[in-house]
Amino acid sequence: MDITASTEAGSKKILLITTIASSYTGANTVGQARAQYAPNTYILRVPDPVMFPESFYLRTFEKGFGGIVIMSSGSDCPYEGAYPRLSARVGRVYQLMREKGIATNRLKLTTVCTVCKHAFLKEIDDMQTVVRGIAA
Amino acid sequence: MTDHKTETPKIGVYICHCGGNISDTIDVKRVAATLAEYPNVEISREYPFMCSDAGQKMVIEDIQAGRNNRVVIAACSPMLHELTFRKTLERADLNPYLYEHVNIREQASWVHKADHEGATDKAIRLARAGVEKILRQDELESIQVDATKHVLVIGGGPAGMKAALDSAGRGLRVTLVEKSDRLGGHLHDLDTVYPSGLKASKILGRLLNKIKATPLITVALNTTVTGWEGFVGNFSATLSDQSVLKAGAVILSTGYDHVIPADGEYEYGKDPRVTTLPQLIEHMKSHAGQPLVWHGKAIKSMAFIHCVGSRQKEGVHAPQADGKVNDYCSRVCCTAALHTINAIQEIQPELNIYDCYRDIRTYGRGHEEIYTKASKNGVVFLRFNEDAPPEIKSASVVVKDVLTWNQEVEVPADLVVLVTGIKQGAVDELVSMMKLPVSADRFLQEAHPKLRPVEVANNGFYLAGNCQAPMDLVESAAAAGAASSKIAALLSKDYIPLDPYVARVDADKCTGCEACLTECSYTGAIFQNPTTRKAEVNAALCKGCGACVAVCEPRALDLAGWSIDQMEAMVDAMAAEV
Amino acid sequence: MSIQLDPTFLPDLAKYGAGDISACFHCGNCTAVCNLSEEGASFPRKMIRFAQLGAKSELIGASEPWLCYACGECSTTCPRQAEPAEFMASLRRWQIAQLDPTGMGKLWFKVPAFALLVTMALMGVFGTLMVSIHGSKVFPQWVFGGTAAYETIHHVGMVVGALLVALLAASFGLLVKRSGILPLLKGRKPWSAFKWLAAEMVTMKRHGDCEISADGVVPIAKPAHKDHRLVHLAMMWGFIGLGVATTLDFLFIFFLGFEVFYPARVIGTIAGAVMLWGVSAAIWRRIADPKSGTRHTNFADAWVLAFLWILAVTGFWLEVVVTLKAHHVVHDWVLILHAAMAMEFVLLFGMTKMAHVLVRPFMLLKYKLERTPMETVD
Repeated sequence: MDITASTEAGSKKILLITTIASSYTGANTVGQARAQYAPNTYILRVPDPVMFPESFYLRTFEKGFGGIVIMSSGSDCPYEGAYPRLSARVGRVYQLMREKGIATNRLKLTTVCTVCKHAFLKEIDDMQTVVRGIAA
Repeated sequence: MTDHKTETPKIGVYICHCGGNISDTIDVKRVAATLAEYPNVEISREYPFMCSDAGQKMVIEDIQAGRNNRVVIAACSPMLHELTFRKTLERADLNPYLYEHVNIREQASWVHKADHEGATDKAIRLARAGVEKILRQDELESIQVDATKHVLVIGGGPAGMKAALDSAGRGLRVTLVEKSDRLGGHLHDLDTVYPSGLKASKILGRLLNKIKATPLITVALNTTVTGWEGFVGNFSATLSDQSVLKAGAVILSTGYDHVIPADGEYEYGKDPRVTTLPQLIEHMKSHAGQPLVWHGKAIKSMAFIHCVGSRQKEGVHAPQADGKVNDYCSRVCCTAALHTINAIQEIQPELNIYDCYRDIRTYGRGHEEIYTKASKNGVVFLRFNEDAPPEIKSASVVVKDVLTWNQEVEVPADLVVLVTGIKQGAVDELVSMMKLPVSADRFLQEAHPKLRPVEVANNGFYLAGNCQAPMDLVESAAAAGAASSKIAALLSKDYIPLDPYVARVDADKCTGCEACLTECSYTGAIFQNPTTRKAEVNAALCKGCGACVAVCEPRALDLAGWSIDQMEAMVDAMAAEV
Repeated sequence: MSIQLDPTFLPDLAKYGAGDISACFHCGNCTAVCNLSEEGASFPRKMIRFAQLGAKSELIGASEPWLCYACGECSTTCPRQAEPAEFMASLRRWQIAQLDPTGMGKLWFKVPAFALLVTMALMGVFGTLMVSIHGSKVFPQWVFGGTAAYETIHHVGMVVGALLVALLAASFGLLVKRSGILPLLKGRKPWSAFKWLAAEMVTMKRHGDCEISADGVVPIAKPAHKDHRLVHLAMMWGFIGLGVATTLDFLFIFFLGFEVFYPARVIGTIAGAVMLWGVSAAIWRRIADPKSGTRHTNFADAWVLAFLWILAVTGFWLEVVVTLKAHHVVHDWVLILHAAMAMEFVLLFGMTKMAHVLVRPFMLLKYKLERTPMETVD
């Protein structure tokens, strides 16, 4: 885990979209375990990422964020039909990113549960690598 | 409450030290000082423990002195103290939703210990994002719906009976609906139950007597639910006798079915020596205390084969009716099999028993003792891999035994007992009628396995027993008790407060494009007003997922408390330089 | 060929001293902590599994029980209190018992009352024989006819000796057959295995390895009497030394016709002292420190130690008597006891725990042969 990313010149921020039911609690679990990661990571808490229109992601990149990780609840999702809709939407966002020339690996849809410490850290680690690539 | 809508937003920001939990890493003074300069922030303070009486008092005094009318507290996780501070605002006569809780402990100070500078910058941005969010927050009011103090329990097995008794014990009227002609469910099939060893008939008798003696409980036998309408606190069920029942909440205790082995699986149905555990238990019950005789033959040696119909693998096992295999573990069957083995050995200690398993799961209190007893009594355990199941021979079972380095072991068997699993009962109609969430293994799904284990995400629905997952009697009773307490709390007042986080429509912006209607998974939650052609939301039915929000081109739809405007403003604050 | 089961085996093995071995749920801790267990010679778990199944054919010629020196580490770490070390000891007893074609060996280990009865009866027989030889000194002349019986005794002795040799030969034949050692000799040059075995028997290096903890740390130096390997070496070398001394004595007296007193006597004295120390330490350990090594002492174990100890003590007694040329009727009784017990010890050799003197080296040889590469045919 690279915990010095933020101090590197030009390193970009990462937005972590988390769910109340699942990954937000997962992020707390990581904190309770005192696992360390870099502070260029910003957690946004929502009932379900399905609420965001395609434009939200593109706008976030425009505002200077290097990467976005959508940490959904996956099969733990309490909302009916939300995950397939989210997944389809992310597919459309990829299309729009390609059209705008934004590397698609800067957006990732994944699942993090309430106790998925390692998954959470791995997703951050992976995205840090992507983000460093942009900065370079 | 004072109407703050017309007031200019004056935001109070409070940075908590949390002892040193936060302040050892984050420069709280710098955060407070920086926030003080931020637009719309009237006061910005830092304090050792915001959650302490003194901390809360400070907030109340600031509000009452008119120094601020919206509050941001940067401290621990909102899961810990969001509710605490909402109540603080209520005490200060301020709308509790004009409060934003910013997490700078679990998600900042604790995870960036080596980077004080970075953590402090992050805390400043997070606090600013909180300010931006609460700046755009409306004065939300919790939704209130009437509470009908009547509980509908569907399924009259032990879980349903216990749920009915516990609900009635809390003063609620209960209707217990059972589709068969008697209460008791699968308890009728058992001889003794583990771990207590009590007679099932005795437990059943006690439950029946108690139900008879409880006037608040109405039992409806030979009855099913055929129609369903309404929402939490106000359900109306149509029963098979055409009567309509009003209920505030419902407990689903519909039970389970035994998995029937596939045709020819382990020679089942072909070889009369091959039977299932439920059939063996039934046989033993009707021949109580007698040595085992099967098809006229006295049994000298028998084999049990575990995981039949459970932990199945695609490509290895025949799929179930819906085309999927049962990949879950039915988990109660191991202990049930060993409990039965011990019962056999009590009558016939000389009978040789071979237990062929994949993994033994005797997980509950008192279960391990059952395994130990069987093992000490000389039951020989053999372990097989899923891809090499035991082979049934004319007078034996051949096991490729993992414990013997995958050598083939031939065990003599006059009787082969397939330890079959548990599957979801016939609930398809209820599921489609009530829109119940179903997990991948076909069982009914709780809202959260740890935080809300007996509640369904749909408000007002509760789970008890095997309709949720394979459970033994003890667990079913616990679930039934938990569901009843949840309902008692829900129906304790005349109304039910609901989180205001539901979709809402700005009629001025709505163009009547109908895009949102197909996006919603919940019937009746969003609909088109036939006269205005604009979208409208039924707050009691909306679950607040926000699926409709994303497709609303003119941004007429928003999730109260989580609007896209708020989220975008937060992203901007996070992106901005410190 | 699938393994055939015998559900009667485990209850039977319990009579040989195995504990609650059905309690084992195969976690494998015992094998993991064992210093001597290795790929292709894995124990105790593998043996436990065969025993649980009653797979006697897998156990009867297994060398694994003899690769174990009962340090007891497995019993200490067993989470089910199945006592794997006791189990391994019981397997050794069971194997020995299966080698006795008369079937008495089985009773010897399983029924202490039988062992006691045989011991007492033989003691009576040999005692009577000895008394009849020495009758004139111990009893009035009229009780026995002086030395008149000597010839008869001598001939009976020869017959018994021949019978003993025949029984031992039969047992050895069974051992060879069941162990499957003969096929191992084909295509291999056994010389290096024999050399290794000789070195192993002299030094008992594996017994020493047994006491090094699994992580390779040599334990804190123990006092000599707590060092299992040293104690066993003392018993073994003492016993061999006494054997050599007795043979020398015999040869010099009967074949050379004169008594070359000193060499045999010196060897005998030293060997006897070493053995007495070893046996005493072994007895002390079983009484005072039962947690180390084997935890339970059954009758057959106690029998061997008791016999060796009494033989050693009475041997020294007689040596002193002979040296001092003392005469007392008590010394005659001691001589009778010593001689009777020695004869009984030799007669029962193949049936008692002493059979390990034959079986363990044999099984070690088998173990080594299995690890000796096949000769490549050019």
